[in-house]
Amino acid sequence: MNRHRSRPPRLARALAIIAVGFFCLPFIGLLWKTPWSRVLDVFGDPDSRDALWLSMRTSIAAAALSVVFGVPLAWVLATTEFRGRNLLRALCLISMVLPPVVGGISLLFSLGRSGLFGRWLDDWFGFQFTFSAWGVIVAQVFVAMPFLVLTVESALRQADPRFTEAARSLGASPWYAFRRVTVPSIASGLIAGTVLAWARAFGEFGATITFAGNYPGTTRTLSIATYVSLETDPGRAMALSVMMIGISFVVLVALRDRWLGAGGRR
Amino acid sequence: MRSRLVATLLVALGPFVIAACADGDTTLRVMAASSLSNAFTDMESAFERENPNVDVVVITASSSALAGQIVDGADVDVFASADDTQFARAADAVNFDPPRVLASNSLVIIVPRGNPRMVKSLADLARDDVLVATATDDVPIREYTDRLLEAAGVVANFVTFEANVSGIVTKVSTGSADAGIVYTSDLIGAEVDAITIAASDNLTVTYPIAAIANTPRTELARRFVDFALSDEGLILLTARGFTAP
Repeated sequence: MNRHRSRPPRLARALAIIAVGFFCLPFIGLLWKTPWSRVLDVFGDPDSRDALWLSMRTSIAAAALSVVFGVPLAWVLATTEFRGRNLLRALCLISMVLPPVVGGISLLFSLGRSGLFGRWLDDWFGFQFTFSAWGVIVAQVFVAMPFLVLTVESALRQADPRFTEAARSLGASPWYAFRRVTVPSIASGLIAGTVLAWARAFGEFGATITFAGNYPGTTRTLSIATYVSLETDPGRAMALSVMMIGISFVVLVALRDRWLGAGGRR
Repeated sequence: MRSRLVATLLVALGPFVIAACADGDTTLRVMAASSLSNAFTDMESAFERENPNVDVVVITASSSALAGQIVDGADVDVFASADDTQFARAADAVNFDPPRVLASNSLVIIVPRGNPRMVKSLADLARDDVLVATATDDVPIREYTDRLLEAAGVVANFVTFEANVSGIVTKVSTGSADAGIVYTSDLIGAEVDAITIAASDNLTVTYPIAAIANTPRTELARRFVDFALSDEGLILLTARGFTAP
């Protein structure tokens, strides 16, 4: 299919250039305004390092949990026919399009300390998600997992089912065939979905501050630290923004080249 | 298929685009501290009723956020701040009339309904088993809270620094935090119980308000400020928990 790719018409290319400009301009504006002399100081101060470390830990945990639960969910959605499947899919993906604050409020009313389910955690274990790093992870998984589910489900739909069926007919168990035949065939989709989920978790702000709160070291992630310092110290906010952009950019570029680079599908 | 989708989108979104453009009225942009949000929504309707050609747009956020927007060049005609510091910050960047005192407010401890941790006074906010919500540095409520606690010699057990007052109310009303300090006016409509702070420990918060000077809309902006300071304005403010200046 890729062999006879034709160039898009001139209009499409012109529009694409405008789109590229639209994405670049804000970053150019930010980089131009950033007080570079302060950037290293801000990167090195303990508050920033705490926030970065927290963001890294929680977003990686959130991406891992998204894989553990999201891949089976995508598997079910892609391969099982049942009534209400589209409704179920919509329900599982809706947090992707909701304002994150709405997600945070819903989490408070369900898993918060006096929420419908969260109250049992408090009664039995004296534990609450809110104000803890676990709360940050829950908020991140809630908004990030749909990106993985969507990507993996579409990869599963495009994968050729005959290989999995062949493995099954040769006596492989469903889990074995899934792990050894299906997963390798959707590897690029799985990696892309994981990276998207991680990136969404890493940048998550609204659901986190609403559900988990904002406290240095436990719930103040890099995105919250950026937002909070915007009012008190804009230079610091810009330095932290540069840090977030740098990290996200490096990860997206590195993984995209590795798994989805030249030639498209691996 | 695809062209039908585009057509549907255009039909669905068209009216919004047109409504946003076809507005011949004069727009008056009023920025108000988040605690004033309800009172100013009431004032917006009342003022628009008396001035049918004016479209009042009320923008609410923490005073520090609003002052920041004004410093960054946001359009503003009237600014009502929850403290003098943030007003002064905005007035350094933009030419405002001298501020007048709009209303006053006091502080109160809020706890979840039923007061599960039995908070009785400021001193209880230092207890380990009482999780206290407050706002980040520079939000006026935080500055007042710090001043109040310092005077009372209490080191509160803060567990979260919210972006604004409504964040504090949400954390307490949902029972996530056990207590918080907010403005008395925030009690109206909030699903929380209130613990009064002794008058000797409490402090009075005043709200400066001013119209922008030297713009084509200055006269209209001054009329809005006069309206806010009138008896009618005061009735709307007291209905929302504020007291006369």
